[in-house]
Amino acid sequence: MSHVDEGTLHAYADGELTSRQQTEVEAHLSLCADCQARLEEARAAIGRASELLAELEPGPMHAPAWREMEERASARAREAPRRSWLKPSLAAAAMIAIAFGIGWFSRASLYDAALRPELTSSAPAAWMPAAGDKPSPQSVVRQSEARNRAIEADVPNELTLTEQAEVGEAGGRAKTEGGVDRAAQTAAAKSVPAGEAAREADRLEPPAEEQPVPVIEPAEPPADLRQRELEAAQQRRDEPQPSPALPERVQSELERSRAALSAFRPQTLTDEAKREFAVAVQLDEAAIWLGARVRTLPDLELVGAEVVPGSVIEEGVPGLPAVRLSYRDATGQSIILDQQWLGGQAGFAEPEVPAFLMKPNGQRAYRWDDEGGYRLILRGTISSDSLRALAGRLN
Amino acid sequence: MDLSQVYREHYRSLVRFLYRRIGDQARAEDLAQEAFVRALEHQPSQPRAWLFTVATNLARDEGRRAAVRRRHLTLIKAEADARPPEPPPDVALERREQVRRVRVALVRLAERDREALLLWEEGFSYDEIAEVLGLSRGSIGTTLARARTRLAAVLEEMKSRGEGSEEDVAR
Repeated sequence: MSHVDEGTLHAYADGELTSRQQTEVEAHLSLCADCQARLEEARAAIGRASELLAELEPGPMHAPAWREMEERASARAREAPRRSWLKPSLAAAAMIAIAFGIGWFSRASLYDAALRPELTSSAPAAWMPAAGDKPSPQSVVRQSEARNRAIEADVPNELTLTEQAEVGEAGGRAKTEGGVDRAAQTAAAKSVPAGEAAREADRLEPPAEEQPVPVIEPAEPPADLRQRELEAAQQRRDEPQPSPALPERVQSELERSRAALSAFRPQTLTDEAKREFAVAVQLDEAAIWLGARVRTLPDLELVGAEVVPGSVIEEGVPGLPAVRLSYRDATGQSIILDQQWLGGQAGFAEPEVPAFLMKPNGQRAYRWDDEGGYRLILRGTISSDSLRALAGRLN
Repeated sequence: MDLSQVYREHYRSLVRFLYRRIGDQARAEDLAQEAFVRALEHQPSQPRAWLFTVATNLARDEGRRAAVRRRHLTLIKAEADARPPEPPPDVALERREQVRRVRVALVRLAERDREALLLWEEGFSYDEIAEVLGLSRGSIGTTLARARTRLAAVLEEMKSRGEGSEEDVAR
């Protein structure tokens, strides 16, 4: 006879089993004296733990008036106003200049823009020009405008990211509770007509797990980061441009990934699901995709490099290609470096305030835009100070 | 839900959770207030779970600062001294020792186990604990079983060895 495991006994004693589970456990208990004895031990342990923790009761508390909390929140909002990092008119002009000079860049922009075919004037089948094709000025302008529209529609500020995560989270819990108006949630998150939202919601896959709510707070960049960024930006401007052609293997995998991603809203995807849209590459291939030199971390073991659409990178910029480098540090901890090339032009966009992102599972991320035109995100289950120190060592 | 109502209903519970988690009541109140200020900025749809999630993260950050660990020695002594000195001296001494032992035993639990146990004591369900800690619901029973068993076992071991001194707390 197999016995009831400890976790189930405690869950039974805590009243946290489903009706079916409870019936099964009780049926077993009626036949098994050993498990009955273990259940009594579990109940004793539960009671004992509560008694012990009751010893740690705080003394008289100071609870400020709620108005004081509101004043602190208002003061904080005044000190760090949110800024839209992308000024559309400036972005449009910069996009045209960049795309003209770098032929492959339009290829990458079409990749992401093609995920929202209603926003582009190009047919989806024509999104991947053959190697060696140079885009016409007219197509470059259309592509730039399409990207601009995609960015305007999709770029999240901090609050929107949180709201969207909460909508996804609420949708997941509401699903288990049996009542959700997914169309209304989609409309609320995106401010689109309810009918369109309903059609879009019908295409959504339910999230495999609830989306954790991130916590974002401003952060100070490392002291020498600014100087290093300026030096790195100068070095990149002096370097020759990478070859425009992506290898055929990478092209075909990106095609498959694009087709699969078009069925999803990236904000509803779990981390596991997002991995489906990553394509493993070599570093030089990643540079082609990125459109610039790939930034790397020294002294860490590089485990792998992938290219992904910017729309599946948390804290990334939708509509821009992204490179993900996976590292392992000396203790075996996983460190992820996500990067996007924003253009590198002075005044191209207002940099986002550097920020830390904390997830309930303990993973942290440090996001910043450097003066060389990169959006960079470092992730890992290490301390915020360690993330910031790593950021200062970026090549 | 109106956040001011959440504040009235859950502020004390949040402070108690943080106090048990980090051992410093003044700092626990600071962190609890910080969590509520952030809630005003983010307006979460599920404020109670969100607040405890933020509090858990803040407590983990707090626990990694060596200065806080060094302060534990002073704080536990000060905490014991600050309690209303009602019972006779020998009973008060025993009580201080028990508080110290419980604090040490709690520190010796794995971080997730400790947090799950503290959340359960604050009235969170298995579903809510799983959400706050980013664990699967099915693992909560095992996590709590491990935490409770170990807590009692560590205390028994400490009593039999006469442990629970300030040096133990510093570890």
